[in-house]
Amino acid sequence: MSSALRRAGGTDLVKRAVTEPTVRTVEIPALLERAGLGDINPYSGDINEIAAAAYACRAAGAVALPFPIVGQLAGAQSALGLVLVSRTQPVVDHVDLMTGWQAVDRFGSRTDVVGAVESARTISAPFAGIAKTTTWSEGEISPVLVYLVLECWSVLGSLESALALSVQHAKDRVQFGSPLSRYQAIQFQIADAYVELGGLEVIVEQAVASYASHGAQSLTDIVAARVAMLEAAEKCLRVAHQIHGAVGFTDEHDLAWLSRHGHIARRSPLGVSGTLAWAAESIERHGFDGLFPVMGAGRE
Amino acid sequence: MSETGWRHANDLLDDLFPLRESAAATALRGEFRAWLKANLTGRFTPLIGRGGAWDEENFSLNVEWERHLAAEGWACITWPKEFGGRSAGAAELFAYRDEYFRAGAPERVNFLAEDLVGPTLMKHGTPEQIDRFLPPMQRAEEMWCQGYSEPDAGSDLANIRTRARLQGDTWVIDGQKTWTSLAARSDWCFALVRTEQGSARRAGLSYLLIPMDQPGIEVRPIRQMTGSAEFAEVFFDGAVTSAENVVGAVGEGWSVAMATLGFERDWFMSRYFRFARDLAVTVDYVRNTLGDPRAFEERIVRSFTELAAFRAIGLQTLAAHEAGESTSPLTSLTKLFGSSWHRDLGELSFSVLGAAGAQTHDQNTVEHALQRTFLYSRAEPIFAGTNEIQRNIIARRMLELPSSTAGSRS
Repeated sequence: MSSALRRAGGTDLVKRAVTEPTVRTVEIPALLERAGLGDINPYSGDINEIAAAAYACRAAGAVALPFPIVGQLAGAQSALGLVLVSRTQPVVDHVDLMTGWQAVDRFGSRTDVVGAVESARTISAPFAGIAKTTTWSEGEISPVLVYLVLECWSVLGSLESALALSVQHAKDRVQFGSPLSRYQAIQFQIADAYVELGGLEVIVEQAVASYASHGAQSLTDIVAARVAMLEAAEKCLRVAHQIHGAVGFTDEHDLAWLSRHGHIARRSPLGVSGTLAWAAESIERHGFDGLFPVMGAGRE
Repeated sequence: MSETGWRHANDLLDDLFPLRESAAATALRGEFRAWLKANLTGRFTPLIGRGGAWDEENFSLNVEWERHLAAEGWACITWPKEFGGRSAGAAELFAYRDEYFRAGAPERVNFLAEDLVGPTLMKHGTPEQIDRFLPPMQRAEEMWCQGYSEPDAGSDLANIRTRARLQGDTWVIDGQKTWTSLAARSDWCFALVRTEQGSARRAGLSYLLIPMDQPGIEVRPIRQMTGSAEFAEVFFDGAVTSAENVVGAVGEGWSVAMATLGFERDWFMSRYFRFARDLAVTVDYVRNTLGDPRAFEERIVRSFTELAAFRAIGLQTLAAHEAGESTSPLTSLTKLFGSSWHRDLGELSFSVLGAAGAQTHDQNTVEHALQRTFLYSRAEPIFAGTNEIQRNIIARRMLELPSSTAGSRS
């Protein structure tokens, strides 16, 4: 999948998608089909299936792929796709591609996406809109968990690319007669970001394993992974922008696209503080297993 | 946007740390408040809570506003009276800026002239340059941009390659500048260029004033992740300016450029008022729009506490400035502290917005304002000397630490 996306132009896809609608409606769906995305079922109970989905999302995130791949994979059980939304603020990336999809809130309730209330481009989310939904009905938590996990992997992919760009920029950019990479002040920032991402990678791997073993009982682990993802995104993008300087703000540079790419994923259904509160709620209700099980109702 | 919101943080700080304001400052405050109330209205209403380089749709109106301020004596107030100012001191400037931002008046778009190149000319310009350039600057009739950064000269400003050679009574300029804010809107550029062939680093540079509207200059705006194109690349291909448009001695441009940078870092203190407003908008949003604001309490309190510290540092800087003391490296401290503070606030704005922040295409909403705070504050630790450069200055000049091995050429 990574190589298929690279061959297709990598981040050129998102840059082109702004002016060429067929990139998102024709080109990318065909590319994902050829890559075998349609054969992956993260709900199969086989850890390899959800791991494959996670890796596909990581590869997509790495090029800021302008397509709702997380929703397509998380919707493997329903008709076309499934998107996790905030019920009060159902802001969705690529909502224009989601006719016939279902939306799910963070408790698992479901509704149909029947269109977009508006799909105006915004400064940080050029493909966003507000989902128009019908009535909500009770549903299962599993799709929420799968969606959250895959989204973490997609953001991880973007952050890894942002870090790789920063390392490269630090090596290439010469100031005061030396590459930036020779300055400890720069090395330390990059090292901190690297450690942050290393930690995130372990946590999201654990989230996949937890879902594969515990299914619906893995809520705490998965929400905790989202907290880690949100915090890592803040720290890594701060470093990436600082190291790049002004060039990182320009639309010509991949960093600007990667940096903007995860905005909705990082805000919806809940941002950092809301997700922390959600994690606390979940620990209170279900407990969680660290090295030793922690208080709370606990897993059966 | 609610007005009560952005009054909040300022008022609290004023209650906690009352200013012993001079009679002159209090008088100016009252007069300016009444003036703003009477004038920031009618056709200027679209600028309330907006304005600045990012606000492309209101740019012409923003310039009109600058001209109106100037015509009524409310621009360049620290300039001497003979140059159209009020000879206002630091306390009056503080009161002036406080009132300006409380009223929700727009970001200034003429600050490069008013706060940077104008004061530089007063210090280093010839009487002829002062007569020629200051009046139209004061009236906002000629807009200015700053030609410092180049593709290979960012933090390492002394690595400038743009060259100018004197042919008869004309400088002929070739090279490239970049990240030039407002280049596409400017009539003049103050630029640091290499005028001595074979010179290196800080030697052999000159500070030229270059007219922008000429065939030898091409401006290519750069679209940014904020959605606007406030900065640009500027290409000089046989561009010209008269021989007398050099500020300070030929080959001595570095010290003139540093004087401007000092003014720029002084100017950064004026961000306090903008920052206080940004925090207030955030607090207001948390109080009135979010269902459960408790999640943000700790970060908001930290932000508020640090804002109080920034205000104190800023007041001290202004006082030192007024007493005629050197404010370097105090200005580096201000810049480092303030830009880091604002970046943190930007991240807080991003957090409090949650899902609502992603759909804020209506530029008049508080959500849009919060999103701008986030996007714009990312740039602050970079422009006008990165945080790394400010730390170097503080380490070397304030703490007398040795310079690092890499980069010792500076």
